[in-house]
Amino acid sequence: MIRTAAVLFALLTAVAASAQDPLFDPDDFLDPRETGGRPVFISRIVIGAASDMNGDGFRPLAENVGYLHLANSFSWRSVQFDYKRTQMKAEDGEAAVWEIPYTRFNEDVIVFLPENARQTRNATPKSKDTLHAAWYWPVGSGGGGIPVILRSRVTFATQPIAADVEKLGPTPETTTTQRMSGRERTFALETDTWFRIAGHNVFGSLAVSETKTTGTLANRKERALTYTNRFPSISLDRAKILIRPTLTVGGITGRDSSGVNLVNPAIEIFRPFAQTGANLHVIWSPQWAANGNNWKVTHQVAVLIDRALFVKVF
Amino acid sequence: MRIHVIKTLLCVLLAATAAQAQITTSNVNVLVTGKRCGELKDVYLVINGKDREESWVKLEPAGTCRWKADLGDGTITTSNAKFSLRADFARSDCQKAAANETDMTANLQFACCAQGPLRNVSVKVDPPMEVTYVRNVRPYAARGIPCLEKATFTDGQVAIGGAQFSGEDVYLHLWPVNRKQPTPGLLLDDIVADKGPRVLNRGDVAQRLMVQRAQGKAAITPTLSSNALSLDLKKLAELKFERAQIEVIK
Repeated sequence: MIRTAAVLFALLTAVAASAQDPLFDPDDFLDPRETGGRPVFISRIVIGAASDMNGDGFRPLAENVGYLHLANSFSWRSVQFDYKRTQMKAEDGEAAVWEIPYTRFNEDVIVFLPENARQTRNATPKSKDTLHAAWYWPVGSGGGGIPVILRSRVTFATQPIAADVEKLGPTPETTTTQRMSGRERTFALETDTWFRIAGHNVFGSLAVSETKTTGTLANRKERALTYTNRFPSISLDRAKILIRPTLTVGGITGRDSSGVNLVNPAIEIFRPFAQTGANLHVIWSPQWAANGNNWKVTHQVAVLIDRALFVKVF
Repeated sequence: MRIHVIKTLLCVLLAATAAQAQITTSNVNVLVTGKRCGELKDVYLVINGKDREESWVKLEPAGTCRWKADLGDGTITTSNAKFSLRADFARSDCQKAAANETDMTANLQFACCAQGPLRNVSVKVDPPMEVTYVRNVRPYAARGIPCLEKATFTDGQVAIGGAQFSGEDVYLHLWPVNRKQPTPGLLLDDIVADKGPRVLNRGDVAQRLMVQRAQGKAAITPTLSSNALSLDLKKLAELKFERAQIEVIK
């Protein structure tokens, strides 16, 4: 009996913006009070590398990757628009892939694959395009007469996915490879939050997102609800270093577990170099994610440098 | 139905009472409570956040721990005017006056005196340019309300009198202050040192502003925004800002 199994290794490349901003995407918050009502355009380039990188927001890839990112921000009064283009390269020259441990014959029949057949690196990701539309709004005051400004943001990201799918035959000679062209799209809503507890400010971000993959053999849809607490940074004044801790917790659908199935603390070390205009970031971001009852951790470490290419205040 | 009518009447009555409690006057009475009130000599009022010393209103003694002022043409409305007290070794938080409709005076009562040393701070900006300081005063007495007090100096020579960093944040603005949506500016609390003058160049100022944002002291979510840093450097370059010397002078 000839059994043709669609062995699928779909590839959902790195950093499709889920609710979590990509590790390589520097903050672009711009307090509208600081622009004085004048339009501001800033174009920024980011280059860097990361080990044990996660992709697609919260999906483990465990890849070492290089990264090139171009961010363009236009701010005017209380609104901000961003267009970002990103490209990632994995250590073997191809894109990072997401491991699919099973093959799906149809909606009801899933066959788990042996360990050695679970991975492929035949995917070539295209550049990812991200659009943000954000608006800033005042709320209350942090204990004095100055209102706090928070930001809400809508994100749309799209990334083509070219996948090589191997169809296994009874002998190696009958195994064929099929090229598929799909895409992944993410839609996310995110808003800053601010509370006063016992006289202290508690800042964070609440985000919901939906990431949908189509045109591959591993089409899927994932929704995430996350809260990121943004703790005050620690400043090492003499070294001009800032250390920022954050903690993200959330629930993600499609993980065979309900409730909180994501815990992602992060520490970012930031060092600006005023002479060159470049900023160095070193980020450690361990991510615990549950699949069923199994929690897995990946220890992302990223080093990147960003620099403004163009700053125009109109 | 009857309850609604009673509620409505009650609301109207309260509103009418509140409306009556508001007066416009030029006469202000000040009572200072606390053990040390008798030690206060020269006492001034800062009205509606106008903090240049030339704008302070000197109070006349009117009995033990009591003072008064006649503002002349400068009348105030008790419902919206904000006051704070300045004296030799004390400052108060801000509060609104209670209206005395009988003798048409605005009555203020401050508690003397909040803890924490007062500092007179001098800032010299090079090259000379228009600079504003803003004091974000937190309420620390029962009657207190948050308020902003500010003063603008066109020659870059700034004098900040009686700063009490335990009860207020003092910010320096190198750019025009947005009156509708004030921004914090450069926080002096963490910079001012008693050990002598501190000089900040362009990069230092941008760095300090970055630290404020990262530590959640800029009235925004803590952020390491590279764009905000680039914008600060751009604006400082446009101003041709070179340095600022900050010093405690008393």
